Amino acid sequence: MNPKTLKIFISSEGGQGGQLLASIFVKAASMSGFNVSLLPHYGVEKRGGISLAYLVVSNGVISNPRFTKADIVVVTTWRQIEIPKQFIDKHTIIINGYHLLNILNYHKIVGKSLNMLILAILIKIAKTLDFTISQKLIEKIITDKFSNSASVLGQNMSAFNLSNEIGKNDYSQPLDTIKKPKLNQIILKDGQKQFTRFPQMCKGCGLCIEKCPAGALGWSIEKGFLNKPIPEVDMQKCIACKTCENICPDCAIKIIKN
Amino acid sequence: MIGGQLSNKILYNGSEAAIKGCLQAGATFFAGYPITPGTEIMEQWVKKTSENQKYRFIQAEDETSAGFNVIGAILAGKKAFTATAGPGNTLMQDPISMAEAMRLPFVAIIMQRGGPSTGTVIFSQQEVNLTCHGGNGEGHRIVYSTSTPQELYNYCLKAFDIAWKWRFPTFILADGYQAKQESQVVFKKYIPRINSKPILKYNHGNNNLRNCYNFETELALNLEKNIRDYNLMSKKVCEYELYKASDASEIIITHGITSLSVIEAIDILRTKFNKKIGLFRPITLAPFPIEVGNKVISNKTNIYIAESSNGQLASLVKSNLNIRSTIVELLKPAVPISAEDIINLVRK
Amino acid sequence: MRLSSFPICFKEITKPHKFCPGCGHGIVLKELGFAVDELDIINDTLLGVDIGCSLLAWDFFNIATIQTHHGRTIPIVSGYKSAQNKKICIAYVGDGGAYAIGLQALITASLRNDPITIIVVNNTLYGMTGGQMAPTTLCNELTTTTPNGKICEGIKPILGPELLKNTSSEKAFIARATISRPLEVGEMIKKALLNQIVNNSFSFVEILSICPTNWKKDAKESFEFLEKYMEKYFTVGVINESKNS
Repeated sequence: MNPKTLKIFISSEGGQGGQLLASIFVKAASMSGFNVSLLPHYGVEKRGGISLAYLVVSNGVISNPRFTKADIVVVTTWRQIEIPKQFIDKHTIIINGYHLLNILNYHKIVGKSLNMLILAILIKIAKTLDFTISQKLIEKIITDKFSNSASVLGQNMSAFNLSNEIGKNDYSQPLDTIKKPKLNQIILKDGQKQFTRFPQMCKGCGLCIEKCPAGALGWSIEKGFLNKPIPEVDMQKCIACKTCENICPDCAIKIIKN
Repeated sequence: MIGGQLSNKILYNGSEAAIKGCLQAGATFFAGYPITPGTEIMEQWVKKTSENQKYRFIQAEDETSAGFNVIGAILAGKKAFTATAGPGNTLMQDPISMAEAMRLPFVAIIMQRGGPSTGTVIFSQQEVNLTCHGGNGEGHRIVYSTSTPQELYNYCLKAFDIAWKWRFPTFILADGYQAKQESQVVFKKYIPRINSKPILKYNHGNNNLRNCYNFETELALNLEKNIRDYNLMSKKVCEYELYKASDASEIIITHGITSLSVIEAIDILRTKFNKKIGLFRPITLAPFPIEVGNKVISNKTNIYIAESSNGQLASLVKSNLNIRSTIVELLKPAVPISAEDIINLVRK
Repeated sequence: MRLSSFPICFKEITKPHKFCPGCGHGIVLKELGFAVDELDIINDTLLGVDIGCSLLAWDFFNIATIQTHHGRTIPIVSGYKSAQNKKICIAYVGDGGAYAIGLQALITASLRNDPITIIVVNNTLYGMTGGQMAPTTLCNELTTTTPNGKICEGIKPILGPELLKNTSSEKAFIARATISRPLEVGEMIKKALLNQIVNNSFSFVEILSICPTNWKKDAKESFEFLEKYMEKYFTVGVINESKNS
């Protein structure tokens, strides 16, 4: 009997947890009795920029950790989209992170833990391709991994379970919907000041929320560059001190005093 | 392997597997400097040994110093090693040349990355020349080119015995893909055959050491001895892999991780395209497996040489073997070679 | 698209930049950009970067920029300045590049009073390679090569500006700033650049910065580590006021 092999290529942005998703999947596959290989790949160095991974799961011997075409391609970043495109042929299933976020755009947490949602979908797809990996096993691995923080674990498990709200037709979506988003700005004005946010610059780091002396900033459900939530401002509390604008590493805030 | 049965298989990446091999081989000292993709070797050493006083660790101020730290430990009698890559490999040539001159059992793991200069941080096969001949003057080294995390383990396990027995700097030449790849690795029991002992003595014998000479003839005599020792060692130490070469009419020569793509391609070329083709893979790039190589390539119609460099392996092959047949080279500097690339090369 | 929040010398097409969320580099580079705008030197500036995280600034500005090998930014910048002394030459490096592999070059540049401006972004570890210890790692600090905490006994985290005070001419401007007070970072950078432009002397600013990714801390914890630990050990302020100013 010819060995069956499952090849998955993951293309994500540093900070979206693509490597974590990959390592949990192969660990569970290995513990389910398959031979596995995981090859992480980065951009320029280990920090900053695109984060890729080659996953191979097989019930036979794996001769090569790399491949030229994948059975499943996961894409969660618009940057360097030519890279995952190379791995797609007519039978490839494409998990399009932006499409998933669109369907679930009412969920705040899904942006922070998109990788867990995708992990759940990968298991479902793998099962249809005769690679049965126990869901309970994955849940145990996730629980062990985040045992330090109940809130992070809760957030990740919620994202994981959100896969139940996704229909099979939404698992695979073409990549042409993924484009560099237009730069937009969200402007709020009152008599004292004009507060502008640039969502496409915001990486959801939270430095501004931490430093605001008036407690005027909090997390919104709007998504920023890494599909993570961006802050929003309570104009009544804001004193236009510009602490947030000065501390922002990404120039995502601009305040003009009248 | 049937899916569905729970197993205890744990995944190791190449760096973890390498450290396991080094520890079982009796290494007790590591000095290094962070550089992608070799940094995890250092981190794994720290992770596995920091609780135990028997093991020593220095994170040096740069690679050159790390190499000299290793030399210090070797002179004191410890099985010592380092790991580096790319520009770090360049900086390491200074201490390595001292190890060559003084026949020190210097062991290093090199994770090749694209170059020259900063290049890429993950892969190439472009450090062959540097790792085999990067010092000044006329030094000799032993270089193993591995292809998988399993081989990283196997050859790290072996490297220290080889280095301490024959007293040539010994290298495990891999790349970032192997370093980072996670797969199931099989470990075995291993008892080191050679015990290390201090090279610099105190009261008598070897208690004055230097690596410079007053006269050319003194140096020449020393070099001639090294060359003799190297030739004596070569046949015993050289290693190679053959895949479906015995009935082949064409041979592909490659090394390291490219051999995985070649093996995949050979199976397809044989079953789908009826090509009688096989692989000759030198595992030791130095000493090069000359005898077996010449036997395998004799009377073949075509010899293919494939590598992710602009001819570093090809030069080694051509200078070591007597190739009479047509040579076809697939040279892809800095870029990995796939099975499809090999199939297209052979079918053209 | 030019955002109203960007310094003029920013290269817009490379934004959002590749630094991690919450990285102090973003704050320092923004202040450097505003300083260059204010001094109106965009076409007269050379920026050298290292290969740690500072590498990600190679295409940050519309300023002549050269990325080079680890720890060799300062010699390149010194060489360039020697050949083109009308240009304002800046070396932008991390604490690994400045105080480990590049320490010899740093001290030599200060001994010679090379009229260059060196900006060192100090996050107490090697960021780009995944968080190993650096010469600036503090006592008990966890890094991947000090998994049990860095040993305190007998080991000193390097005080770069203080060291350079002893190797520099009295004309040198040497200071330390912190990203918890971004406007002060901008002020120190401007003073440093002016010391090169007006006094033709060496200038050096170490900037204490945060690294949430490798510290494995969120925004609140990162600021705590910066303000309660780093700023206690690394004194913020002017370390050597240039005798010329």
